[in-house]
Amino acid sequence: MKLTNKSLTIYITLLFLSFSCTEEIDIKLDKCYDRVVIFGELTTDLKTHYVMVSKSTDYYNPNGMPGISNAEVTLSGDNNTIELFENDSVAGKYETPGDFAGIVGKSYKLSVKNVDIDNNGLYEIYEATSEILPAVVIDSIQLKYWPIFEAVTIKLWGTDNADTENFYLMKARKNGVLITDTLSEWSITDDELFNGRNTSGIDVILLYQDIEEKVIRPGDIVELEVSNISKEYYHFIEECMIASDFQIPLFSKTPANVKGNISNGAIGFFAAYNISRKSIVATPFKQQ
Amino acid sequence: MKNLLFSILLTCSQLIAYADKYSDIDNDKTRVILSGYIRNSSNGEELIGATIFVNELKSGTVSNVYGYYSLNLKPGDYNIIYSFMGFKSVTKKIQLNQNQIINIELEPTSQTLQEVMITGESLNANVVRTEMSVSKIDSKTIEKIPALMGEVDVIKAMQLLPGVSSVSEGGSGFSVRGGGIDQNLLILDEANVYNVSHLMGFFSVFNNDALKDLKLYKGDIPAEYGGRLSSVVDIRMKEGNMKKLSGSGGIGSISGRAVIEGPLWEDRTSFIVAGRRTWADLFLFFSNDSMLQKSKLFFYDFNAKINHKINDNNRIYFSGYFGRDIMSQPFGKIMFGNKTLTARWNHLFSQKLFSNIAITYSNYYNYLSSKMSEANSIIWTSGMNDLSAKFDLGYYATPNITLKYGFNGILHDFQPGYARGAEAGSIANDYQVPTKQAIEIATYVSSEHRVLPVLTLKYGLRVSGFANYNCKPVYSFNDQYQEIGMKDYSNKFYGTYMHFEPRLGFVYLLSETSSIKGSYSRNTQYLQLAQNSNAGTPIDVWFSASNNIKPQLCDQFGLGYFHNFLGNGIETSIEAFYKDMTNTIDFRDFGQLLLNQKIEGELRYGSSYSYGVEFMLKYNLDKFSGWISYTYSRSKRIIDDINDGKVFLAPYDKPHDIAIVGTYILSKRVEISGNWVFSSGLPATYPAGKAIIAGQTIPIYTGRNQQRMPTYHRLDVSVILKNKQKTNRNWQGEWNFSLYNAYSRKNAWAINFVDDEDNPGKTKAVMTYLYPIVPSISYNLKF
Repeated sequence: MKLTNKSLTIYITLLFLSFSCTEEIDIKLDKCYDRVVIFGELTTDLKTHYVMVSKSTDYYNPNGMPGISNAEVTLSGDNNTIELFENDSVAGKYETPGDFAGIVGKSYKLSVKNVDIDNNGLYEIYEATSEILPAVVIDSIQLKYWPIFEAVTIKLWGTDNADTENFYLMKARKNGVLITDTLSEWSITDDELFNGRNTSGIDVILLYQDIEEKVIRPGDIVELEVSNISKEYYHFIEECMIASDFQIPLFSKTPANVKGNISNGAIGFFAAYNISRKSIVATPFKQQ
Repeated sequence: MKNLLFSILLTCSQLIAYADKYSDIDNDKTRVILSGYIRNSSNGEELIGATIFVNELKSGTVSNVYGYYSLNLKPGDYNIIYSFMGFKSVTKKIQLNQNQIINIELEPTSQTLQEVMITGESLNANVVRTEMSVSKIDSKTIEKIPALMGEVDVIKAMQLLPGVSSVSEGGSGFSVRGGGIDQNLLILDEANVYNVSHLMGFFSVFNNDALKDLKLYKGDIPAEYGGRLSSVVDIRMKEGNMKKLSGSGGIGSISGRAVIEGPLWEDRTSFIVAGRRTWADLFLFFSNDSMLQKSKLFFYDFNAKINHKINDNNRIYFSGYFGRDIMSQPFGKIMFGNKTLTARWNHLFSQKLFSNIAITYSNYYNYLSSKMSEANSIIWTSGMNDLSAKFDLGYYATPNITLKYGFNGILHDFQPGYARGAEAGSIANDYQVPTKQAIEIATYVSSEHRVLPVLTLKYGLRVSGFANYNCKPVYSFNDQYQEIGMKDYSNKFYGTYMHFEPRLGFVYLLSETSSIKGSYSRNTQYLQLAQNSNAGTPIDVWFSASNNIKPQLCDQFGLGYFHNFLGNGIETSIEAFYKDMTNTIDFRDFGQLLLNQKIEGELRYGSSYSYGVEFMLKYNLDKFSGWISYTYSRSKRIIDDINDGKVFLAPYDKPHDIAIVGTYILSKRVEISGNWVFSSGLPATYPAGKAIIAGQTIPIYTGRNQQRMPTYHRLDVSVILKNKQKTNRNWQGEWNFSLYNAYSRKNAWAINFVDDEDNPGKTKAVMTYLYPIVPSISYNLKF
C-alpha cells in the first residue's frame, strides 16, 4: 500500500513542480536544546554491528552531529550482556565484536549510560528493546527497466505470512555494496493489501539510473535484502521519510517530531531484525 | 430516534396548519397586502434581495431568494420604489385599498453608463436589513475581477471579502473567520457541493457563466441553514432567459465556455445550458515526449436548468451540475468530481405565505489508479452521496413580524474508501473502509420582529439531529486512542445526537443611513474532512460524528456598525466577532487518514476560539466601483496530544488581510479593473534542530505553528475592451486582457528545509512559488 501511495505522490508532485520555481531563501530559525540521538541496527549477519550515540544540532549547523564519547553502551539478550566499545577514529560510534550476530526469536536490549546531555552533573540512562522476528522467505527477484523514469526496479516474489501483521524493510546492494545507503532510499511496506498472498513480482526498490552508484550494467550482481521488522520500526522509518520529504501544501502532513523507541526523550531507534537475501546477475535490458 | 423524528414532523405540520389558517383569515381587516415577484426585464429572472421601499413610511422590505416580496400596509396611496443594484429603479404610484399583486420588471443599467443612478434612501438595504456578517456578489461583479489565466471564479472573488481568506496560493480552499476549510457549507441551487476544486484547487467548480449570484453568511447564519460552523455559501444558478434566446461564450488561455438560454414557452418556461472545458491538454498530443502524448489533464463542467411557471402561485425548477477532473498518465489516473440535482417547487399558499420544497441529490466521487506494473496495480475509489429534502415556509404574519419555519433532512451515504487490484496480476486484496449511512435532520423557526420603528429583533431556534446507520465494523478506542473492540451495527442506528441551536439578533437604526447590529448563533457540525494537510487535498474523504467523535459546536457573537455615505453610494461597516468552538478535531502527528479502517483512532480532540474585526468600504459611484476590506483576526486551538497539549495557532490564523478591489469605467468600450491583496503569512512549523539518522537529516521541532510563512501580496489587473456598438449588430464581443501577479511577487507556496546537494551536511531553506506574472487573454461573446 505504501508503495502504491508513493507512486501517486511522486506523480502528483511532478505535476506541481512542473510549473513551479524553487529558490533558496533566508529564514531565521529558532535554536533548540541538545537532544541525545541514538541509532543502531542489530541484524542476524555475523559482523561488527554498531550503535551511533550523538548530539542533535541547530538546523543550519553545517558540521554534522557531534558524537558523544565515553558512554557506557551495552547490549543484552540471549542470556548474555556484551559491552560495545567506541571506535578509535569515529567519536560516538560504539561497536560489537566482529563475530556477533542476532538470533531470530530473541529480544535484545540496548542500554546507553554515562551521558549527561543537559550538563546538570547527573547521568541519564537511555534504553530500548527490540525482538528479531522470523525470517522472510524470498522465492526470486527480477530486474525491470523503466524508460519513462529512467529507472530500474527490483521485483520481488515471496509469500506473506497470513497469520501475522507483517512489516517489511528492503535494501539493495550492487556487487556487495549497499546502494540504498540512506534512510530515504530504503523501501518499506506493510502487508495490508496482500496479507497471506504471494507478492507476485511487486516493484520494491526503485533505482534511478542517472545516479552513477545506482547504474545497473550487464554483469552486475544485484542483491535484495528483505527483513521482517517490527510495527514500531516500520512507523519510525515511515515518519522519518515523511519528515524529510519535500513539503507541498496539498499533500504533505503537518510537520512533527518523529517518535522512536529510545527511552528518556532521546531521538532515534534501536532495531534488531533478520535479513533474507536473494541476488541476480543483471542481463542487458530489453528495449521497451 | 424515531420519536424525535415523529415529534419534529408533528411540530412542523402543526406550524404549517397554524400558518395556513392565519394566512387565510386576515385578523386585521384594516390592513392589505402588496406582494409580487421582482424580475430582470431583459431575461425574466427573479432578482434576489431587491429593495421595495415605501416612500411615505420610510421603510420597506427586500425580495427573498426566489424574488418574492410581501408587504402588509394600511390602505392608502403610496409611492413604492423598487430598486436593485445595477438596475434602473422604478417608482410606482399605488392606490392600495385591497390586497394587490404587483410583479415588477427592472431594467439593467449596465449597457449604458450614463444611466447608472444612485438613488436616495431606497438603497440603504445593508443598513436596515437584519442580517449581519453577510456578503453578496453577483456574477457581473465577479466577471470584472481579474483572474488567474482569465478564469473568472466566484470562490476567488469571495476570498477578497473581509473575513474570508485563501489557504494556499491560488487554491479554492478558504477559511472564514479562522475556521477550517471543511466548516463551509457550499450549496448550489440548494444541493451540497462537497469538493469545490478543479485542477488541485486552482479553479473552482462553479462556472461563472451559469451563475446568478452568491451569498455568503460568515456569522449570524440564518436558522434555515446549518450543519457547518463557519459559513454558508449559497450559490444560485441562472434561471434561463424567459424573453428571448440568448447565449454567450468565450475562449480563454486555458478553457472554452458556452452558454445557451432561452424560453421554451415565452414568460412561462425557460432553460439554460452551460458548459466549460479546459483545452490546454490538447497540446500534449503534439508533444514529442511519448509519456506526455499519452497524458491527459483536463476538467469540464456542465450546468443545466429548466424552470416553469405553472401560474402566479406555482413555479417549478429542475437543475443539475456535473463536473469532472481527469489526469492520467500511462502509469496512473486520477479522476474526481461532483454531481448535483435539484428539483424545486415554489408555492404561494396566499399572498402572505410563501413555500419552497426542494429535493436534492449530490454526489462526490474520487477515483485513483496506479499501474506501475501488474503486481503493484491498484484502484482506489471513495465518495459520498446525499439525498435531501427540505421544506421552507415564509410567513409575512403582520407588518412587523415575518416568520420562517421549515424542516430538512439529509440521508448521507458514505463510501470512505475501497481499494483493489486494477489488473488480474495485482497482488492487492480488496480493502474496504466500512461504508455507512447517516441521517441529518433539522427543523427551525425564526422570526424577524420590528418592535419599534428603529428596532428590529431577530430570534429563532434550530433543532438538529444526527444518527449513524448500518456500519460494520465500528471500532471503539480507549483514552490512549488504542482500539479496544468492535461492534456490528449492520441495519442499526448508533452514534445519535441532538442539539439546540438558538439564533438571536437585533438591528437598531441610528439614522436612515446608519445602524448597529448584533447577533448570537450556535451551530453544530456533524461531518468533517479527513485531511492533515492544511490546504486540502483533491482526495477529500468526509467522515461523520459517531460513538467516538462528538459533533463540533460553535457559539458565535457579532457586533457591527453600518454607515452609508454619499446617498448610499458608499457603504461602510465594522464588525467584530468572537467564536468559541468545542469538540474541535485535529489529527495525530503523521496520522494515516486515507484508506484506514481505524481512522477514528487517528483523531485528537480539543477546543478552539477565534476573534477579529472586519472593516469594509464598498463604493458604487458613477464610474468607479469596488471595495476595500481589512480584517484583523486571530484563531487558536488547544488539542489533546498535539503540541504537548499547549495552545497553538490554528492553521488559518492570519492576523492581517487586506483586499482592494476596483473597476473604473474609462469609456463606453473600456473598463479597467484591479485588485491588490496583502496578508500575513499562514502559520508554519519550521525546524529548530536536526538529527542525522541512517544518513538522513531528520528535522526537530519545538512546537506546532510557531513560525509564519512570508507575507503575501499580489496585484492583478485587467482591461476589458468591448466592441463598437452598432445598431444592426445583435451580438457583443469583448476582449479581456489580464495580468495575474502583475509585479511578479514571488509568494511562497511552500517552504522546505533540505540538504545542500553541493555541500553535504549543510542544510538550507528553499522557497517554492507557483506563479510569477501570468498574462492571459480571453474573448467573450454574447448574443
